[in-house]
Amino acid sequence: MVNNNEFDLRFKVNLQGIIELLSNHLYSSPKVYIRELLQNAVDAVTARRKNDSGFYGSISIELFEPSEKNPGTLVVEDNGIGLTEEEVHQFLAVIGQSSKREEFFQRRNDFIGQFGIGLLSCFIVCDEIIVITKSEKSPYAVEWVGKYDGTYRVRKLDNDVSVGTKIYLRCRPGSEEYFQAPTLKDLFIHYGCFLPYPIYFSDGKSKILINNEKPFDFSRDGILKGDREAILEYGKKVFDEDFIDYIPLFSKTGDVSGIAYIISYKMNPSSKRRHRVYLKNMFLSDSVENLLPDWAFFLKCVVNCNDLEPTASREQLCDDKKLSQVQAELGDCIRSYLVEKARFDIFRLREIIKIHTLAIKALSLEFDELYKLFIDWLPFETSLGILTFGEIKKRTDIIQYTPSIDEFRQIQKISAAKSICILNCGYIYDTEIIEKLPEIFHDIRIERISPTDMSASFEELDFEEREKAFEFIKTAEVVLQPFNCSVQIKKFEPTDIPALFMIDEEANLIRNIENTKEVSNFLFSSILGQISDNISTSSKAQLCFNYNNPLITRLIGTDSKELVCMSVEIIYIQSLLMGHYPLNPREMKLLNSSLLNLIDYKL
Amino acid sequence: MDGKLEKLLSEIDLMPDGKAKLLMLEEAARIADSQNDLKAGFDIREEIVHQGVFYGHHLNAIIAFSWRLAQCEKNPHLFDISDLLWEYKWIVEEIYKFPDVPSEKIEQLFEDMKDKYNREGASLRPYYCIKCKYLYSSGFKERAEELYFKWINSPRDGYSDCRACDIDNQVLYLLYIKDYEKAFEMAQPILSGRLKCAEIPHLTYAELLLPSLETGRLNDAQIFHEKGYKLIYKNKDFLESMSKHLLYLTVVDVNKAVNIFEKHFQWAFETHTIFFKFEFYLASWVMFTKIKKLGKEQLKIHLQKDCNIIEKYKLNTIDDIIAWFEKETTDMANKFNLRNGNDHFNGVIQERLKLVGFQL
Repeated sequence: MVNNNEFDLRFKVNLQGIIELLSNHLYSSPKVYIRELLQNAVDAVTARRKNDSGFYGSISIELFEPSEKNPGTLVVEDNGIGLTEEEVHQFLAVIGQSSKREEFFQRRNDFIGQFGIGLLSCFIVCDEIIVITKSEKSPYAVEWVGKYDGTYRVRKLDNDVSVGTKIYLRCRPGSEEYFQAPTLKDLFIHYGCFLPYPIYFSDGKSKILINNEKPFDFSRDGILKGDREAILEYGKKVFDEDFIDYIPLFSKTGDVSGIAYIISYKMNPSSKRRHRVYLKNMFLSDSVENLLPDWAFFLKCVVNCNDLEPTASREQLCDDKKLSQVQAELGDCIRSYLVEKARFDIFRLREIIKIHTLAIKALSLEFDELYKLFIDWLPFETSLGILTFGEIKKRTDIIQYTPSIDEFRQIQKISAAKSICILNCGYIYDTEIIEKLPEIFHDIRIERISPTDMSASFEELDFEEREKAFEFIKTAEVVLQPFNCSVQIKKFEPTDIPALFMIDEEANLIRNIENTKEVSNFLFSSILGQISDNISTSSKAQLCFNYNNPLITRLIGTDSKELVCMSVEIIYIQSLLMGHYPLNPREMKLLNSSLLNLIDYKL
Repeated sequence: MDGKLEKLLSEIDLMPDGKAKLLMLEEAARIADSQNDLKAGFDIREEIVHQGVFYGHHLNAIIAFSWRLAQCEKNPHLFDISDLLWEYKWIVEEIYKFPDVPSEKIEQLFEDMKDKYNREGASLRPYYCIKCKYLYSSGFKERAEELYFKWINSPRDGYSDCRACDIDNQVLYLLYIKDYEKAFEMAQPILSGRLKCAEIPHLTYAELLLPSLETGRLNDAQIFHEKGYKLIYKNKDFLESMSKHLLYLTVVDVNKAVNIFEKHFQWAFETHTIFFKFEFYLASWVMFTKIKKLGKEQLKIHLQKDCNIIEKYKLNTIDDIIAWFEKETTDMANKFNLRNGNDHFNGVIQERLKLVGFQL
C-alpha cells in the first residue's frame, strides 16, 4: 500500500510481546499482578470518596482454587467509582495513555497508580480477564472481556448490578502456584496490610480481613504512641532478626514516616541496604537502597511515603533531589535519637557504639555536634589495650598515635613496657578522628608517632659504652648495608628484645618495590626500578640494637668478628619474620647461609 | 597456617575503602607471602590494585599489579591472564604519569598491552583510548588525533570502559583540541544524570570548569564546582580534579581557593604520581601569583604538620611561596619535557598562568 506522505498509519503493538517484556524485564516477579489489582481497587474507592467523603469503601477477594474440573478463578471486587462504557475503552484497552487516567482521577497525587498498564499485568498469570463494572455516572453496567492474544470485546449488561467493579481472572495452565489460597493470602497481606479500606479475603472455607494485623499505622501518633514491644516484634517478623532498639522516622518532604530498626550485629558499611518501603500504604519493595544517608548502614527500616516517585518498575524510589532532602530529614531523626541517648540513656548508647563502632565513628566525622557527644565513648586500640577516648585522656596529656597498624606493631611492645599509651589509628576513620581533635577541642594536643620518633626517645649510650660498641656497630653496618637497612644502638625496655626493626611507610614502600622487582618480568622490573630510583631515599629501614639486652652485651664483648656477622644476620632476619615482613630471595639466602655457618661455627 | 591471615581478611572485609584498608591489605599480602600462599597473595593484590587505583595510591597499585602479572606469566596453569586485562589498562594509564619512566619503556608497555589484548581476542578500544590520552597529554597532537579516530571506531566489548567513562574520555579529548561546543554537547548525557558511574560525573564537572569560564557559562561553572566538589573532597584519587577546582576558585573567589589549598595540599604533597603533583602545584603557583597581584605580601596558611612546607622551608612571604612552587613545578615540567623530547609542559604552565589575569 502506498501512502502519500500522510501520517495516518499506526504502529501495531503485540500485547503478548509487551506482557512478556514486562514480566521478564521490568517486574522482578509475576506476583506484582496482585499489587496492580489492589491498586486499581483502592484507587476506585478513593475516587468515589472524593465525591462522598462519608462513603464506606471496601474490597473483597474471593478465590476458587484450581481443581481437576475447574482451572481456578480469582475474583476481586470493589465498591468504588466504577467505569462507564467509554472509560472502559479508554482505560482497559489503551496501553500507556496515563494522561487520560490522570484527568479522570483529577489529582493524581491521591492515587497509587500511575502507568495505566496495571490491569494488563494480570496477563502474566492468566489468558483471559473479565471486568464487570458499573459507574456512578452510568445507568447500566458493562462487561469487558480481554484476551491474552490482544483482542477484547465489550457489551452492555441488562441485569441490575451495584456501583463498583468486579474482576475475574481465570488461571492459565501452568500458573497454578499463583492461585493457591495460602500463597495468595500471604501475598495480599504482604502488599495490602497497611491499605486504608477493609480488604476481605475468602477461599470458600474461611474469610479474613487482611489489613487487620498491623502493629501500628503510619501516622505520627501511630508511630510515637505505638507499643514498644509490638513494634520490635513487628520488625522481627518483617526482617527475621532481633533488633536492639528502634528510631521513629519522619520527613515532611515526601510525607515519609516509619521506623528504623537498629541491627544487633556489626554491619559491613558497603553492604547492600534493604529497606521495606510502602508507597501510599501499598507495599512497594523490600529492597529499597537509597532511603537513608550513607552513614546509616546500621539500620533497617519500614517506612511509608505518600509523596515520592517510584521508578518505572515501581520497586525502587527515584533518585532525585527530593529523595536527597528526605535522606537528610531522616538523617536528622537518627541524629536526634543518638543525641538523646547520649544525654539520657548512656547505657543504650554504649551498647550501640560497641556493635556499630564504625558507623558511629563515621557519623562523628560527619557532624561536629555528635563528635563532641560521642568522642569520650569511642574505643581505640592502644599499646595498653582497648581503651575509650575518655580513658585515654585521663592517662596522657598529648595524644600520641600511629597511622598504620604496621607501625603500631613495631613500637607496641616498647611503649607498653614504658607504660606509654600510643593509639593504633591504622583502622578505618581512626586517624581522621584523632586528627580532628585539636579542631574541636583547642586544649587537646596530638602527635603522630613513627617508629623512628620512638627510637629517638631511647636512652643514648655514654662515651665509654659508645667506645665499647664501636666495632660491633661498624660490623653490623657492613653486614646490613646491602639490605638497605641502617643500624643504631641504644638502651631501651624491655631488655629481652635484642633489636628493634623499624620501617616507616615510605621505607616500606621501597622495600615492597625491591621485593616485587625481584619477581617481576623484565619490563615491569625496570619500570619499577626507574620509579623507585626517584623516590627520596632518605627513609631507610632501621635496626636498632638494645644495649641493655644480655645477648647484645655479650656480642659486643666478643672478639670474633665472624660470630658478630652471623649473629647480626640472624637477628636481622628474625626481626623481619617477627614483623611479618616476607623475606626476599636475597634474605632467604642469607638466612640459610648464616644458620649453616652458625652450626658450623659451633661444631 | 595459624588462621592469622583468615582473621585479618575477615576484618578487612568489614572495612570501607581507602588508605586504612590498603595498608591492611598490604599487611595481609606480606603474611600470605611469608606463608608461600600464592593464591591468596594473588587475590589480595587484586584488591590492592582496586584500592590503589580508585583511592589515590597509584604506586601501590602498580607494584601489586607487577607481582600479579609476574605470577600469571610464571604459573599459567594457576592464573588466567584474561583476569588482568581489565586492570592492565588502569596500570598503563598510571605509569606514564611518572616522568622517570622513559618513552621507549612506555611504548614497550603499550605494545605489551596490545599484544595481550590481541591474544585474548579483545577489542583494542581501551588500548587506543589510553594511548591517545598519553599522546595528547605529552604534546603529540597529530599522533593523538590518529589514535582518537581508531579509538572511537573500535567496537566495544567486555573490556571496554563503561559508557559514562567512555563519553567522559571523549569529552576530554575534545577539550584538548579546544572544540568546546562539541565537548559540551558530548557531555550532555553525563550532565543530565543519564550516564554515571563511580567516577562520573565527578571528573566531568572538574574538566568543564575552566572551559565554562572561557565560554562565558558562569552559572554552569558555579554549579559544576558546587556539585563536583561534594563528590570528590573525601577521595584523594581525585587530586587532578581538585587542581581544576582550585584554579576555578582562584579566578572566581580566591579566599575559597586558599581554603581548598589548605585542605587538600597534603594529597599533592604525599602523592608519588608526579603528573598529579605537577597539576596541583601548578594550580597553587597560579593561586599565590593571583594573591600577590591582589596586593598581598603575607598570608597565614595552615597546613598539616607532615606537609607544612611553609615552616619547613621558611616561606615567610608570598614571594617565597611563589618561588618555591615555581621551582618545584618547573622541575617536574622539565622532567616530562626531557622524557617527551619537547616543551609541551612549558606551554601548559604558560596557559595556566594566564588565569591570573582572567577577568570575569
